[in-house]
Amino acid sequence: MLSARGVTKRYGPLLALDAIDLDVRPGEVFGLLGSNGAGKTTLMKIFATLLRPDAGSAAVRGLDVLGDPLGVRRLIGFVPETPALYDKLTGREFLHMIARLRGMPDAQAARGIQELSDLLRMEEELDRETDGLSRGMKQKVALASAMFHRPPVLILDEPTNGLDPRFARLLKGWLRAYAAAGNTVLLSTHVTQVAEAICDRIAVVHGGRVAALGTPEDVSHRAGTENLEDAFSVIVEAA
Amino acid sequence: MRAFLVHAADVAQAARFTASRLVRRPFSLPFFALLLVGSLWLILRTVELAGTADVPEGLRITPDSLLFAAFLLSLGKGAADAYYRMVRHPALVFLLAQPVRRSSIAAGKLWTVVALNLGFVTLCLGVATALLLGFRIQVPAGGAFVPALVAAVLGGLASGFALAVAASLGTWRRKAVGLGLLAGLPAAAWIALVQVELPVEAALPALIVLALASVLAALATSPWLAEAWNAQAASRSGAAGHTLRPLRPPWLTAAGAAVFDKEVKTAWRKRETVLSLATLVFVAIALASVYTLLGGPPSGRFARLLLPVIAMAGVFAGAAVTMTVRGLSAIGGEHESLWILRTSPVPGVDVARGKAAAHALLLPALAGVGLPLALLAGFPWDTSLLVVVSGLTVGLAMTAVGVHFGARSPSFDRNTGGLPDSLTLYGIFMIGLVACVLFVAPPGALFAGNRVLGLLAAILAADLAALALYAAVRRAGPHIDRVEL
Repeated sequence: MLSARGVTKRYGPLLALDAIDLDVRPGEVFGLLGSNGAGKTTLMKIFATLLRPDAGSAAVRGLDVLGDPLGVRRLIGFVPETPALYDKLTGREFLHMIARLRGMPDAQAARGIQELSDLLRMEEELDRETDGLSRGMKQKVALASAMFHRPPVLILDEPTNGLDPRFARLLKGWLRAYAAAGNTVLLSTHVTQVAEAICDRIAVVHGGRVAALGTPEDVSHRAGTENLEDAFSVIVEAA
Repeated sequence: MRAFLVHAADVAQAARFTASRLVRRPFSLPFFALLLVGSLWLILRTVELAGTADVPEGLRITPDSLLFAAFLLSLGKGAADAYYRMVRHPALVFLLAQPVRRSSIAAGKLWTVVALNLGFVTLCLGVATALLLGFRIQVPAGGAFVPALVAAVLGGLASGFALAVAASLGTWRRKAVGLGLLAGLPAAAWIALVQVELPVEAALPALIVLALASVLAALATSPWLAEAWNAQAASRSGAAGHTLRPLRPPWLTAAGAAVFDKEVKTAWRKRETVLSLATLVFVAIALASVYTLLGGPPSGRFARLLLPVIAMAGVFAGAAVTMTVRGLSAIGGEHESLWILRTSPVPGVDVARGKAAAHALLLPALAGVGLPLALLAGFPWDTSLLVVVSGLTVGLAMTAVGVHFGARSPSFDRNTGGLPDSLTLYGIFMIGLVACVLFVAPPGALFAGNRVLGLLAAILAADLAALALYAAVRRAGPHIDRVEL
C-alpha cells in the first residue's frame, strides 16, 4: 500500500532521511515513532507529495509520488502536525471546499460531513470561523477533512495532538476500525502509549533511519524491555 | 532594552529571509541595483524637466510636494508594515504574554519599521546624490531638503504605524475614535506642505515636530495592542453563506471554482476586498483632485497628453498595490495552510486559475479609476473609453506580473503578508511598469493620430494583456505543484 525504497532527503547540510526502506500493508495501522527531528514528518510529507525525495522512490498503492502526484493525492487523507486552516472559513465551508476540490457530489459531501460531525461531536462548532476554534476543535476539523471522503490511505502526523483524552480514545477506536475495513493508516507519534494502543506495527525512526521495525511487542521484546517506552529509550540510545 | 530585543529578533528574521532569497536568486541583487539606479535617474530627470518645461502651475513639482508625497508613501508603508509585522502577526501573542510593557513591544516594532524603511531611503539618497553629481541634474532642492525628507519619512512611518493599530480595534466606533484622534497627524503635514507651502527651511522644524508627535502617537497606541491583535484574530459569528455562483467565471473547473469561492470569501472576511476597493477610491479621488489643483483645463506644450498620462499613472499605482500585490501573495500568503491545496488532487493550474479569477473581480473597479478625472476634465467620450480600456489592460498586465512572480518564487514570510522583500517587490513593480508602458503606449500614440484605430489597438492590447494573464496562470501551475512544504 505504502512503500519507500532508499528514500533520502536533505535540508541543506542536514540529512533528514537516510535511504529509508519501508512497507506499510493494507489493513494495518502503522506508527512512526521517534524523537523530535527524527525524520517522521519528512517521510510523511513525502508520501503526501508535499516534499520530493532527493534519492530513492516512494509509492502509494503502486503510484509513484513523483510520477503521479495527483493520483496519490486522490488516495490519501492527510493531517499535518500543526494543521493551519483557512481561518476565515467556517468548518463546514472548509469541508465543503475540500469536497469540491476532490470532485465529490454535494449530496455525498453533505452526508459525509454530517456523519463525521456526529462522530466528532462538533455540530455547533462547524458553523464558526475556524480562527475562533480551540486547538482541539481545529484538530477535529482537520481530521474530518482527511477522513470524510473515506480515502484508502490516511496519513496523520501526531493525530492526537490537542485532543482531550476522551476524544483521543474515541479516535483510536475509530482508526482501528478504519484499518480493519481494509484501509491503511500511517501515523506518527512520539507518545509510546498511543503507538502501543493502536498500531499493528511500528518503525522507530532515529537520525533519518529506521532503527527498529515490527509489532510493538516484538520491538519491546527485541530491545529486552517490558514496554515500548523503555524499548524506545534503549533503541534510540543504541542507534 | 526590551524594545531592542524585539527589534533585534525582527531584524534577524528579516535578514535571514532576505539572505535565503538572495542565495536562491543571486541575480536579484544586481538586477535590483540596476532598477534602483534607473528609476531614480528617471525620477530626478522628471523633476528637473518639470521645473524647467512649460508645466501648468498647479502641477509643478516643488520640494514641498515631494516632501508631502514622501510623507504619504511612508504613511502607507508604515501602516502596512505595522499591520503585518505586528497587529496581525500570529507570533505577537508570545510577546503580549511576556512580562514586558506593551510600550516596549510597540517601541521595538516601530524601531524595526523605521530602521528598515529609513535604511532604504538612505540608500536612495546616496544613489540620488551620486546621480545628481554624475549627470549634473538640476533639481529644486537645497541643503535643508535631505533632513526634511528624513523627518517627513519618519513622521509618515510613525503615523502609519499608529493608524494601523487604531484601524484594527474591535468595533467601528472605537476604530472611528482612534482614527479621529490620529487624523491630526496627516492633516498637519498637509497644512504645512500643501496649504501653507512653507519654504523647506521653515518646513524642517515643523516636520521634526510632526515626526516627534507621530512617534509619540505610535507609542501611545501600545495599550490598544492586545485589543487590536484579538480583533484581527477573533472569529465573527454568523458568517454568511453567500452564493458566489453569479460572480464565478463559467470556465473554471469544479476544483478551480472551489478555490475561487474560498479566495472571495476569505478576502471579504479579512477585509482585503474592502481595503483594495478603498485604495482604488482613494486613487480615483487623488486623480480628480489633480484637476482641481490645475484650476481648469491645462494649457501649454503637454496639454493634450498631460491628463490622460496622469490618469494612467494613477491606474498603474492602483493596479500595483491591489492586483500585483494580491497575485504576489497568492501562494506565499497561504503560509502553513498551503498543505490543504497541496494534498488535494488538484493541479496547480486550477489553483492558479481560481485565485486569478478571484483577483480579477477587482478589474472593473480598477478600469474605472481614471473616470472621475475624465468626467471632471470633460474628456471626449472616445478618450474616456481609451482610459477605461487602457485601465483594464494595465489591470490584466499587473495581475499577470503578480501571478507569475507569486507562483515562481512565493515568499512565506508572515512579516510581509506573503509578499517578497522590498528589494524584490520594487523590481517586480518596475517590470510591471515596463510591461504596462509596452501595452498602453502604442495604442495611445496611435489614438493621437487616428481615434478609431487607436481605440481598436487599445482593445487589441487588452486582449494581449488577457493572453499574458492566461500564460502566467498556465506557467504558474507547475511552479505551485513543485512548492515544497
